[in-house]
Amino acid sequence: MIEKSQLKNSKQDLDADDSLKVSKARVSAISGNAVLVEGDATPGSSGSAVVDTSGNAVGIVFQIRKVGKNENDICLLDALMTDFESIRFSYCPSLGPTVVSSKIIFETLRLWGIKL
Amino acid sequence: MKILFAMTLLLSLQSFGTQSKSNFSGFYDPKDVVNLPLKDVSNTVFKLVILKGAGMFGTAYSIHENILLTNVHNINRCLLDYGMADTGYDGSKGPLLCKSLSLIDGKGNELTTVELLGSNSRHNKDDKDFAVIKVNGLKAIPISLSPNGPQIGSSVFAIGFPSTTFRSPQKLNDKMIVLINLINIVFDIENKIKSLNQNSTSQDLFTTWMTDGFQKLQPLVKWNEFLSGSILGREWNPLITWQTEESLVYRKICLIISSTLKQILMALFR
Repeated sequence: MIEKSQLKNSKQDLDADDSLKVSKARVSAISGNAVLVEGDATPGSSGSAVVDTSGNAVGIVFQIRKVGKNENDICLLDALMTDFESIRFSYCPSLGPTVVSSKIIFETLRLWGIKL
Repeated sequence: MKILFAMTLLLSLQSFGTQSKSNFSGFYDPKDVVNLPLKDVSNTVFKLVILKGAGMFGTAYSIHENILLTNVHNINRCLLDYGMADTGYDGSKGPLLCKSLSLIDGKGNELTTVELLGSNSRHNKDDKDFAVIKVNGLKAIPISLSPNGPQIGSSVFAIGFPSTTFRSPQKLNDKMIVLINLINIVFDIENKIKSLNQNSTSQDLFTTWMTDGFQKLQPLVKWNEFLSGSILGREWNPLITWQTEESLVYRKICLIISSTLKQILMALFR
């Protein structure tokens, strides 16, 4: 496992092949197993590791949502994404990834018999 | 009406592509990220090649030696191969080989033999969109999985491979421009045919219109593939057959264009 002492100044490892990226983000809401994060993501980000400042994985990116001014406002993209910029979503100012909490991942892995 | 509907749809999608480009940009420059809590992410986070040749990628990361975590729609092709897209996989039959999936590590090396160990349903309603895969012989540095999950307000880092997929906003936008050009030409031909019915147009002028229209279409449509049912050529197939929201849009647009073009051709030869 990665030790905290190892977790310094790794920026030289990033973006070596112009594709691996790191995005700073903030956990803004938790609803059941879903964690809303204020940060950036694109479809290629699906499956990205979300780690805390100690280096532990706290989730995995699975969806992109808009976040409302009220933290409880979650603006799901329309299935066809045609109303992405419509008035319906205009009150949702920021775009952020939705993350599956590591808590449910941890529990499910035990059910599947996968030992870590 | 169909053409107008399709144009409206395309224009709104073009708007989406342009807008989303600005919204999606802004990944922090690595130089701004200090004290990143991973020493060697190239041995921890991997690019998942979803379907070879399709240009679609996702991300997977190591949680234990050769075991990686990813999300369900990245491995959906594997689930489809085993008829498990709706049910997911609980691991009861042992590791399942995912022939359509491979991995690229942070140094650009390709790794194969991806096996599915467990997955939730593609369409689960419980926000449990994750899957566990195994790559034999992988020497990954695992990230310790927190049993408690994140806390509201805490700072986190997302580490992955954004903007590399076929569905990236720029590529989506590029494809939309091609589609808009295509539908504009079809629209033009259809309008001229309609005016032909109402006015007494000379055969020479009609021939000129049609020749001009089909010359414009020539670089955009692969006719042999069009006649066999694929309007935009083989390179579109991965996207069109993929089970994503975007592919639904493309399929609808392609059906509209295809239907209109066939109506034009039928009108020409009747």
